[in-house]
Order: sequence, then structure tokens, then C-alpha cells
Amino acid sequence: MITRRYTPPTCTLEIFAKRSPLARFWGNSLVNELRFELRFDDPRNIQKDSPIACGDRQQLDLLCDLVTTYVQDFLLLSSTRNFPLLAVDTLTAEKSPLPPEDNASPAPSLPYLQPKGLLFHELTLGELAESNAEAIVPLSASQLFDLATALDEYSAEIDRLPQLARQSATPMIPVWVKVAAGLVITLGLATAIARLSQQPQSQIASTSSPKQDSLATSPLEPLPSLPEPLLPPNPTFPNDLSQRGQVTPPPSVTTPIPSEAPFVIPRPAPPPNRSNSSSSSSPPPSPKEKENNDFPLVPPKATPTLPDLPAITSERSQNNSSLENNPFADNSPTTPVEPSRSPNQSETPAAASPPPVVARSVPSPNSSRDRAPSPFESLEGRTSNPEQIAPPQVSQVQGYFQQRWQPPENLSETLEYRLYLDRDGSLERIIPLGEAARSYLNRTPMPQLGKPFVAPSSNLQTLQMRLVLETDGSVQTLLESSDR
Amino acid sequence: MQSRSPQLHRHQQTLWQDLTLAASPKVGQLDNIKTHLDLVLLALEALLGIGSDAMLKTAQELGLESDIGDRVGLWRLRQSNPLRKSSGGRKKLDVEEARSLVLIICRLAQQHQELVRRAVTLLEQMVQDERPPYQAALLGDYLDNFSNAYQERMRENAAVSSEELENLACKFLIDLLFYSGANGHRRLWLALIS
Repeated sequence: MITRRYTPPTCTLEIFAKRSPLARFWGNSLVNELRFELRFDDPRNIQKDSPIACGDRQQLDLLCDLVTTYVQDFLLLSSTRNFPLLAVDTLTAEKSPLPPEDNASPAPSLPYLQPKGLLFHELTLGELAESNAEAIVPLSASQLFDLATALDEYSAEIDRLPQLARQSATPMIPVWVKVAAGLVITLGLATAIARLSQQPQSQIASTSSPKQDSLATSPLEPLPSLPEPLLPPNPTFPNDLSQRGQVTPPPSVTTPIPSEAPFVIPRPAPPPNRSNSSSSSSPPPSPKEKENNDFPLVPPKATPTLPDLPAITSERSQNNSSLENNPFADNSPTTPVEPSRSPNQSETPAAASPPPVVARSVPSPNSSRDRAPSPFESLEGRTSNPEQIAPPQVSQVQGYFQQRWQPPENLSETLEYRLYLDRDGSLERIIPLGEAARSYLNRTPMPQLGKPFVAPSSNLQTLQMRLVLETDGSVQTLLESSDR
Repeated sequence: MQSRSPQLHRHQQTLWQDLTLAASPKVGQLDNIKTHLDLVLLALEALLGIGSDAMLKTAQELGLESDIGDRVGLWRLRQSNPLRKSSGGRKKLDVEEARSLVLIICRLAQQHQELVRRAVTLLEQMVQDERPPYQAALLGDYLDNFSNAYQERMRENAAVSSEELENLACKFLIDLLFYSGANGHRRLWLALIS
């Protein structure tokens, strides 16, 4: 039984995951079997019959999405003109059951949130309610924050749980079984041989075959006697084994991407994806979405600061046309690459700067600043700026390495290099990013410096790109910047 | 400083990587971003009673000196808010600088989460009791500071009624609570670019 407990000040989220004995053998992931219980136990307002939400993992994930999206929508209110009042009036007025009924009709069983003024919200538990299907939990802003915090913590941890589960479940089986079976076999054989040696030759065949049978069928019999010694090895064995287990899954995830996208650049950003997708792409309960857009709490009279913005915006946006193309357009995709794994990026000032941003990773920050100030405005130009789509050299470099890259067997880490390509299509400079990249540099199929290996570039002087050599043999290239 | 910098750097790098642009902002969003960042900073100033020194110090802690190095730089960044009174010589805000501001805001909010939370809880209590928020000292000071700074710095056509200003201040106060969480930087960034 695994338990996790998240306890922000006003609620408690508990996660239970049962590990069935069979799961070990089937390789089931623990986290799919989890159950949760969510209590709204604000110490300022303890109620005996305060509703409890509970459910399975799917429902919990749904709740995470719901709350994340809702909070994000709430925060968005600041940047729109729909500034709600502090709904002192609406607070009481809107306590009518009308909106819930309205929303309940499309999907009565799904939980949903709705605002009751800026400071107050209502969470209808729907199918999550432990006993009463009508359970409605009033949440203040701070309680909503706590709920979001608990769910965030859960989300962050659940990402690691499958690995944990694999660590604890899968490796245990082989070790268990192997040790046990080995022992049984040894013992069995030893006794068999011992007996055989005392028995007449003619009986060998008949005695040995039943023994074999028993060995084949009964490896589980002696197991119960072994658990004690098996417990200690757990922490040690799983490390090795789990790492092996972990290495395999990533390739299956990453490989389709390069094959679909020649230059990896279009790869969307994973880190924020979780929040992103949860906030934007997955609003499964449609009623919730509807509410959030409406935000019934918004009183029509409140239109403070931002009314001005549109005018200013249009004014300023005219100036934007003159702005340079934005290297960030190409940089943002670099973020998702999993370079964070290579912490020792202190090789050069370039490597020391955060990778996602090209302007920062160019060796001479000044020149990069002068060249492309990458103001926000330039982001607008990003869409209408086809030239920032990677030049052919990027895919050519990828192709070059794709054909030649053969990961060494003991390689457990992705290797990353920053490559500077000269105008003639030769390699001008290589910067290994991270320790592993440095030590494995000789094992990579790097072309000779100064020797053209891709097509010369007609309009670009140099190209700076990121080369990612995966452990599964796949290769990614990302354009970081191009100097004109 | 030397010894902790790699750690800090890694941490900052991780945070930084969270702030990607999945989609480019639409025309008109950019000014909202500048305004939003400036106003969130204003809310922080008003609540915590801090000035640019604290922000610069936080920038330093986060290794963001290259983007926000000195008082003038920070001032010019904030001047990029189109609602600001002075428009001459306004510096444009670039993506790195916006990210830096996001990280600074969230770090400050996180460091002062207790106070932010207390203010929000107090606000909830006052509203529940149907009492005007400014009657609570902490909130009264905050609202005063916010309103004064707003009126002092923003252009006249950005002026709003005192009631609206109070709501605005309250909204930013609540937002600060959400920015003070572990995911705060992502939340703020998404709110900016969505």
C-alpha cells in the first residue's frame, strides 16, 4: 500500500495505491490502481459533515485538469477587460441554485467549479462526492489556492510514480524469482544427484524426470520462505534494473517525433505542456469551460485599467512592423529538448546561459542583443517570418548524423552539442554540453572541423544549432540562431 | 556565492525552461503583457513595501543580472508599460526580460507567501463580514499604496474610479497568492501569453 498525503493548510489530499500480488507478475503499473480522498478540512471552519471527494486516478486527473484550467482562467481575468468586482453583492445574490442546474444538465456527474465573486468559488463534486451527489464545496480564494497546490503536487509526483512503480515492481520479480528458482534448482539438483549417486543406475531416468517436473512447476513453493532476505535487496537492485527499464521507454516516445518532423523545431514545449495542456487543451467537462468563459461574477460596471490598452496597442502595433525577426521564434522549441539533464554546461559562457534562449546562448551577448533585441513585438512577426524556419542545413546535419550515429552500448545519457556551422557548410566549432557529451565526443561521428559536410549556405554566414544524440540512435537538430 | 551559483543556475534554468512560448502572442497582447507585469510588480511593492532594490537583489539571486542589472534598467523595463505616464525613451521589453520579471515576481511572492496569504485571507474575512477591506490595517495600507502608486505613475486616460482601483488591487492581490505557489511562474507566464 502506497500512501501519499498532501496537506496544504485548508485541505488534505490522500492517495492510496494498492499493489496486488498479481501486479508484480503482470507488470501492472501501480499508479493506475490508485484511489484518492480529498477532504476540505480548513481548520478555521471545521464541519462535521463536510463533503469528501474520492475516486480513482482518472477522476483525480480530471479534477486536476478542472482546477488547473479554472485557476488559469481566473488569472487570465487580469489581462482581459472583464475585471470583476469584489462580489459582495453578487456573493449573496449568486448563491441561487440556478447556475448549477444550468451546468448540471449537460453532464451532471462531472465535477465543476464556478465563481462566486472574485474571492469565492464553488466546487460541485458530482460523481466525486463520497455520499451525497449534490455535494457542493464553497471555496474561498485561499482554499482554491490550497486545492490547486495539493493537486499540483500530486501531478508533479505522479509523473515520477510510474517509474517508481516499475522500480519496485518489475525488478523485484526477476530478482525474486531468479534467486528463488536458482536456489531451488541448486537444492533440487544437489539432492537429486546425491540420491542418484546412492541409487542404482537403472533408476536414474525414472527419478530424475519427476524431479525435473517438480522443479518446473514448483518454483513458487519455496518462495514464501524467502521474503525476509528479499526485502533488503530491494533498495539496491532496483536502481540498476530500473535504470535499464527506464532507458527503453524514452526511445519509444521520442523516436516518432524526429521521424515526423525533419528538424525537430516544431516540437512543442513539454515542460509547460502539462500545465498547458491541462489548462488549454483538455477541458473535458464542457460545462466548466462554458462557465469559465462566462464568468458570471463579472459585474458589467467594472472596467478599470485595461480599457485603455486596445488603443495603445493598435498604436504601438503599427511600429512593430519595423522590428527584426526574432530568434526566439526558433528558440522556444529548443526548450523542450531534454538538455536539462546535462548540468555541467559551464564549458563556455554560451553553454552557461540558459539553453532555451538563443540570444542568451550566443557567445557574445552584446552582439546578440544588438543584432536582435527580440522585443516582445517581434513575436508577432514570428508567424509572418518564414525565413526563420530552419534552413536546409539543419536537416542536412540531422541526416548526416542520423546515418552515422551509433550509440555506444554503455551510453545512458543523451549527448548534446552546440555546433557552429560556417558558411561553406563546414563545422567551425563544437561545444559539448555536459560531461557525458565531452567524454563521448570521440565516439560521435563528428565531421572534421573546416571540412564541408553539408551544403554551403548562400545567405547565412554562420549557423548555430543544437545537436542531440539520443541513446536509442535517434538524432535531433535544432536551429539556435543564424548570423547574417 | 561562487559555490552556490551552479545550483542556482540549474534551478533558474529549470524555471526558465518552464517559460516557453507555445504560441506567439497576438497583436495587442504584448502591451497587455507589459502592463500586467508592471502592475503585478506594483502590487508587490504596495503589499511588501519593497522597492527596486529588493527586485534587483532577487534578480541577482536568480542570476538574472544580465537582463535586469541595475535600477535604471529595471525602471526602463517598467516604463515599457504603455499605461505609464512617461512615454519618451521607453525601452522595449524583450522576451528574456519578460521571463526574468516573471521569475522575479514569483520568487518575491514565494518568499513573502505568508504575508500574501494573510492579506488574502483577511480580504476574504472582510468581504464575508461585509466590511470594507480598508478597515483592516494590512489591507488598508496595501490599497492605499497601490492606488497612490497607480495614480502617480499611470497616464491620466488610464485613470479609473477609486472603487475600480480597489478591485484591481484586490484582483492582483489574489493573483499574487497563486503566483506564490511552486507553479506560480508557470501560471503567471501562461496568464501573460494566453
